[in-house]
Amino acid sequence: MKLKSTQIYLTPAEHAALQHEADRLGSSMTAVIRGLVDRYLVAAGPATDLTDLAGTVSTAQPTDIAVDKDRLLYEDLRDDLRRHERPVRVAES
Amino acid sequence: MTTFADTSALYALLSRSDRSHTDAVRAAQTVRDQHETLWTIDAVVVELWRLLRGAAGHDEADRLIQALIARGLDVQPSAREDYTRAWQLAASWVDQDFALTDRLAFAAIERGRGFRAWSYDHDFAVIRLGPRRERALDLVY
Repeated sequence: MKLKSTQIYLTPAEHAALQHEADRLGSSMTAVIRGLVDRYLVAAGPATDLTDLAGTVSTAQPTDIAVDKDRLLYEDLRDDLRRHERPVRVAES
Repeated sequence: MTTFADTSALYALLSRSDRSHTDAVRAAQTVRDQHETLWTIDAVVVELWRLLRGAAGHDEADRLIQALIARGLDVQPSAREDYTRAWQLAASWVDQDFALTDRLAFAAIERGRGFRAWSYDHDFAVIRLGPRRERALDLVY
């Protein structure tokens, strides 16, 4: 990653807050600033609106994805294997 | 503001048969009203696609993933260092059974887009990030 150097001036309170956050994350002050710029300026894309997709799926059995996810993924995998089953061929001797 | 979206949150929003659906609809409205950007990682999208295929079929799963992305869900690839961090998280949380998808999500969150996350998965409430494991996620319900 190519980086460009810049110089900023901070108040003692801002500097202390930045140092504290870097220490807390086990990171550098530079990395914290880059993260904040990325979070608030670079990565902040357009707002996401998923509301019109709400409830577009329904299932015969109610689910609780908070606890059922692994079971549902297992069942999907099991069904996928069944869909792709091939008859076993035994070589004749 | 950016918020990480977990598999459980996106599935609960899409499926009206899910227990967390009402909460998820309210959370999606908050995201919209506050002009937030939702982001996630590839592993979550693959997990969600498999759940949707099981619930609604292959074609509908494709259509819904495309629709989520078209409406502004930002899908990020996992960085190589996220896998290194995922193995570290497994080693340092031996009493937990965090799935790889969750650990990759934690690593991506820690790497820099903020600690706000939308999830109904208990693991997202348990995890503490940072070198001293003191940073909880700011969860959206």
